Amino acid sequence: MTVATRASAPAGARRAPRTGRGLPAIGAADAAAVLFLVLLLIALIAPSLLARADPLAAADGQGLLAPSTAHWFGTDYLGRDVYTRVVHGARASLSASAVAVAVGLAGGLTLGVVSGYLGGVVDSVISRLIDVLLSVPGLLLSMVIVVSLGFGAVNAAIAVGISSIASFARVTRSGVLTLRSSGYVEAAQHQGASRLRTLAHHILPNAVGPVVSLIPLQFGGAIVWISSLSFLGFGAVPPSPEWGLQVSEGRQYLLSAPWLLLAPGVVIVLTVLSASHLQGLWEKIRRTSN
Amino acid sequence: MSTVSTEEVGVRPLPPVTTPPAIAVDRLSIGYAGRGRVARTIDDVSFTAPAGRTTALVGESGSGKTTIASAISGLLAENARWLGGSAALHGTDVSGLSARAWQALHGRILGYVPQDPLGSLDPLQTVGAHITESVRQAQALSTQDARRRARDLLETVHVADVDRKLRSHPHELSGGQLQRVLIAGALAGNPSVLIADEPTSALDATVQKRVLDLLEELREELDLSVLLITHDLSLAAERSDHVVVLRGGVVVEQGESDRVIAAPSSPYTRELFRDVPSLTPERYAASREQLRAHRDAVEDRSPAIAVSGLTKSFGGPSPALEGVDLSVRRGEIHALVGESGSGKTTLARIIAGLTSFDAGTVRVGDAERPRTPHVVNPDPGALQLVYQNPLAALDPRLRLVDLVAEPLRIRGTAKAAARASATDVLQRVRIPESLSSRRIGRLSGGQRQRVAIARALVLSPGVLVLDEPTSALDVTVQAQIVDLLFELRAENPDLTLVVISHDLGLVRQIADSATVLQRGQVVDHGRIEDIFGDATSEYTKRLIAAIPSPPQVLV
Amino acid sequence: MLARTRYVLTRILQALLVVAVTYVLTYWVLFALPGDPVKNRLDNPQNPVPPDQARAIIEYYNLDEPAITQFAITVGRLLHGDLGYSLGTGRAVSDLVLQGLGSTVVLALVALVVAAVIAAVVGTLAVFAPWEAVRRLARLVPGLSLATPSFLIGLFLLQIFSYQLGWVSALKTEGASTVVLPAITLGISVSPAITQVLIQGLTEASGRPFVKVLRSRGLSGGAIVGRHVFRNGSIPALTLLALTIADLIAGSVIVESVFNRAGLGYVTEQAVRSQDGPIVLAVVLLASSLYTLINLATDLLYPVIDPRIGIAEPPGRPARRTPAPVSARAAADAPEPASASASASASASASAEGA
Repeated sequence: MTVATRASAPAGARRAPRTGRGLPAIGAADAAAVLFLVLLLIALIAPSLLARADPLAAADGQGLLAPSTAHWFGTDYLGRDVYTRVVHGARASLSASAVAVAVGLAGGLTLGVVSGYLGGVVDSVISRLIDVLLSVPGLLLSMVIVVSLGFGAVNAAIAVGISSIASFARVTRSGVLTLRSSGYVEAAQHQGASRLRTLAHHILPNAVGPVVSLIPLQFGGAIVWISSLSFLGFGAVPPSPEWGLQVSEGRQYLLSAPWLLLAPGVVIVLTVLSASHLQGLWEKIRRTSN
Repeated sequence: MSTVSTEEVGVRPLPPVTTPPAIAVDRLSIGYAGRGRVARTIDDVSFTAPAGRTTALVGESGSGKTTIASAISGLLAENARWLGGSAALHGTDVSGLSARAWQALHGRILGYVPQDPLGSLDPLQTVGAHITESVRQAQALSTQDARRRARDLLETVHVADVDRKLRSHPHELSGGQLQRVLIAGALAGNPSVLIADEPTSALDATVQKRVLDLLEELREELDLSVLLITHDLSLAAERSDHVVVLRGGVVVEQGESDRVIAAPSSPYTRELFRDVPSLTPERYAASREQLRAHRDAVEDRSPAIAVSGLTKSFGGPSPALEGVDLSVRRGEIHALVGESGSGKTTLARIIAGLTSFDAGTVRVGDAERPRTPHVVNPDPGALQLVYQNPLAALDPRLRLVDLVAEPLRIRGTAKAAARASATDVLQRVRIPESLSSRRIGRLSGGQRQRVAIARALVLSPGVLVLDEPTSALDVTVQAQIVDLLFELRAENPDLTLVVISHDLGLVRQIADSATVLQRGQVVDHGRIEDIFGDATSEYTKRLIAAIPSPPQVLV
Repeated sequence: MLARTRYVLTRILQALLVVAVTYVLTYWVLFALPGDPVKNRLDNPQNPVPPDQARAIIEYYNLDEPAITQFAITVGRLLHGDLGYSLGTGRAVSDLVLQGLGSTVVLALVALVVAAVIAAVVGTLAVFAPWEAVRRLARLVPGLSLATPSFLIGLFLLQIFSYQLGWVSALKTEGASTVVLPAITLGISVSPAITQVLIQGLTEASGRPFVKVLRSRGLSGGAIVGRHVFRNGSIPALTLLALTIADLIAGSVIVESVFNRAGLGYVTEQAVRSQDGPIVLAVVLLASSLYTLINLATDLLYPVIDPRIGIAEPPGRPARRTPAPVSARAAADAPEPASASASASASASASAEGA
C-alpha cells in the first residue's frame, strides 16, 4: 500500500530541500568527495608530495609483493611500487581527460551555438553532422580516430574529445533553440536589443551555463573512456604510469596478485564518483543561490 | 464540531438535524513534512457540509483549501501529516484510515473531480477505457456491462457523439468535454459525496458555466452532496448553498451563502468581495470619469491604434484573424476580449509588431506596421508589450534593477543613469528598493508582474499592451495590480492601455472600450457601456451571462 | 495520409544520408588523411608484408591512383557487397566480420536483456520501494555502474566467479554458460543511462495528476503503477534501450578482450591494433546502419505507442512561439539543458562512451 502513497507524492516533494538563503548542508559524502578531489589535484600538480619514490624504479626480487606498510598497494611484476605509480598515474589520466573535455566542449559549443542560433540550412547541415557522429558508438568512433592519428596518450585524448563533440553540441543546440524562441529573448528584441546583444547578453550566458556545469560529469565520463582505450593498449604507452594501462598490465596476475588492478581500479571509480558528486553539489549551490 | 450553520436562519430550510452532514470536519490540523520538521498548513479547521447541498470551500492560493479537500477524500500527499482533529463522511469517521480502507470508500462513497482536465486522464488510455476501468473498480460487472454503463454515464453528463468519444484519447477532446468525462468517471460507483477541486478554473467562461450547470443538475438528480473548492468568491457565492472562507489554513468565515454575501462578518471576506471585479463594477468609476473628461477636452486626435481589414492565417483550416477592424483612442483602456483560441493574443502580438500578418493595415500612432515585423523593434518607445507570464519574459539571470534598466542600456544610456531611472520606476510600481538586487525567480507572482510593468514603462511608451496581466494572480493581488494601472494613468492621462482578458467582470470594471473576438472575427466593438448594455452578438451575450453574479450583490 | 507518407519517406532518406555520410567521413578519416593505413601497413618495418602480397594489395586498392578514384572504386565494390580485404591477413572483410558477428550478436542480445532487467528492477526499487533507505540505495546504483569501466566489472566478475568460486571456466570460450559473465558485464556497463531515464520517467509519471484521479476511483497502488505509471513512464527508457544495441557492438570490443572471446569485438580490436582500415570501416558501417535503422524504427513506431504524437505537423504551420511540449522521445534524446534531465543525458552519453 505504500506504493499508493508514494505514487501520490507531488513531483517536487522529493527534491533537495530549498533553503531560503545560504549554502545547503554539507554532508559526509560531500566532504569525502571534496577531500578526494583535493588529493587528486595534489597528485596532478606535485605528485612527489604524496609519493616520493620514482614510479619507474624497478627493484629486483621485489616483484609482486602483497600490500604492506612499506608498499601500501603492493608491488608489480618489476618490483615497482603500485601506490607510487597510481599517484603518478593521476597526471596522465587527469590531463588526458581534461584535453578530451576541452576538445569536446570547444567543438560542441561552437557547433551547437552556430546551429541553434543561425538555424536554416546551417542548422540542417550541422544537425545531420551531429546525427552522423551520434550514429557511431563513441568508443568505436574514438578507435577510428586513433587508427588515423596513431596510438598514444594525447591522440587517445583527442579522439575521445572529438567523439564527445556530438553530445555537447546536441545539448547546446537544444538550449540555444529553446532560448531563441523564449519569451525573454523576444522581449529583449521587442525592447530594441540587436541580434548581437541578444546573443551575447541573453542566449549565450543562459545556454552555455548549463553545458559548462556538465563539465565534472563529462570529465568523469572521459576518465572511464580514456582508461578503456589505454586498457586496450591504444592510449598511454608503457612504462609510463596510467590507470587504465596499469589495470591492463595487472590483469595477467589477476589470480596471484589482484592488488595490481585493485588500486588503480578503485581510484578510477572514486575519481568519477567524486566528479559526479561535485556536479550534484554544484547544482545544489546554484539552485540555492538563484 | 461547528454549529454555525445550524444557528443561521437561511433562506432555504436545512435538512432535519437527524441526518448527519455529508462532511463534518472537526478541529482538523494538517502539516507537511520536509527538512526534518512539519510545517502546519491547516490549523484547527472545523466546518460541516450539509447533505444534498453544495458547499463551497473558498480561499486564495496558500489558504489550504486543496489540502483540506485531499484530507477529506483520502488523497493526501505522502509527506502530509494529520496533526489532529477528525473528518467524517455521513457520520463515519475517516480520520487516519489506511490506504486499503480508503480504497473501499473511493468511487463508491466519494467521487473526486480534479482541476486540470487534460493532465488528469492517462494520455495513453482511451476515454472509454478510463470510464470502464472506474466502473469495474466500483462494481463487479462483466466487460460488456461495464462498457454499457460507461456509455450511460457519458450520456448522463451530456457528452455528444458518445460512441466516437469512447474511442478517443484525451488529447483529442476539449477541456470542457474532458471535464465531463472526469465527472462521469467520478460518478461510476454511484457516490453520495462529490468533491470538485477547482473543476472549472482551467476552462473558458462559457464552458465553465455549462460545467457548473451540469454539476448542479447532477446534484439534484442523483441527490449528491457537493464540496466545491474554488478561489473564485463570486462563483462560490453564486453556486453554493453554504460557504466556508479560508485564509492561511484557518476558517475566517462560514455560513449560508446568502447570509455571507449579504453581510460578511469578517474583514477579510469583505475585502475579498471588494476585490472581485464582477462584484464591484463601479470600483474605478470616479477615476474613469475624470480621465474621460480629459480625453473629451482634447478634440480630434488621431487614434493611438488603428487596425483595418487585418487577416492572419497560421495555415490551419480557418484563419486566426479575419477582417479585423478596431481603433483605440489615445488615453483609453481598451480590452481585447475572447475565449481561448479567439485570436486575441495573436491580434495583440501583431499590434506589438511581433507577429507577421497577411492582409490589412495596422497603425500604431503615426507608424504603420510592416507585414513582416522587424526582428529588432525599431521604435520600442512607441508601444510596449507586457507578457502574460513575467517569469518567461524576464531573463532569470539578471537582477531586477538591471532587468528594468536594460531597455535604457540598449539605447545607450550609461549604466549608472539607467540604473537610477530603473530604481525610480521600480519605486513607482511599488517594488521596495531592498528587492532591487534580487532575481525574478525569488519574487511573488504580483511582484513579478510589477517588475514586468516597470520594465515596459521605463521608456515611457505611449501604448502599453498587457496580455492577461492578472489571470494568474489571486483576487487581492489582482486588485492591487489594477490599482497600479490606474495610478499610472493618473500620472500620465495620455497613456493608452490595451488589456487582453478573458474576464468580462474585470473588463466591465476597468475598460473604456472593448473588442470582442470569436474565432478570429470581431463580433462586438465599441464603448463598454454599449457592449454591456446592448451587445449585438449572441456570443457577447453568452459571455456576459457567464459572469458569475450572485443576485444579492448586484440587485 | 499523404503527409504521413511524405514524412516516412523523408525520414528514410535522412537515415540513408546519415549512413552514407558516416561511410564517406570514416573512409576519409581512415584512408585519405595523411598517415594512410594501407601504406603504413605496407611500410611497417616491424611486421613486413611479403612483397607479392603487398603487390596484390597495392593493385586491389589502386594505391597508385588518386584518392578520389580509389574512393570511387571502393564505393563501387561496396555496392556489389564487396567490403575489401584485410590488410593484415588478406582475408575477405565480409568473411571476418560474419565470422565474428554470430557470437557477438548472442552476447549483445543477452546483454540487452540483462540491461533491461537491471533498469527495471533498480528503477522500480528507486521509485516505488516502500522503504526510504532502499530507494536511496537504488538511486546510487546507476552512478556507481557509470563510474566503473566495463573492463573492471569484467575482471571483477572473472575474479569472483571463475577464480574464487570456480563456477565458470575462465579459459573455455565455447558453450552457453560462457556467455553469462561477458553478457552481465556488458549489460551492467550500458544500464546506467537506461536506469536513470527510467527513474526519471517513473518519478515524473507518478507525480502526474491522473494518478490522484485513479486513486480517487479506488484503484490500488499496484494497479495504478502497473497499468498506468509504468506505461507512461517507461517510453523514453525503452527508446534508449533500443538505441543501446549499437553501443553493445562497440562495448563488445572491451568485453571480448577481457573474456578472450573471438567475436566481432575481438576482430575490431585486432583490426585497430594492426591499423587494418578496411575492417574498421566495415564495423563502423555496420554499427552506424544498425543505430540509424533502430532510430528510424523508433521514430516511426512512436505514434503507435503514444497516441499524442502526430506523425507530421500540418504543412505550412510555423514554429510556435512557445515550443510544444517535447515528446517523450525528445526527453530521452535532446533534454533541456538545465537540471536533472541534463545530467541524465550527460551520463547517457558518458555510459555509451564508457562501454
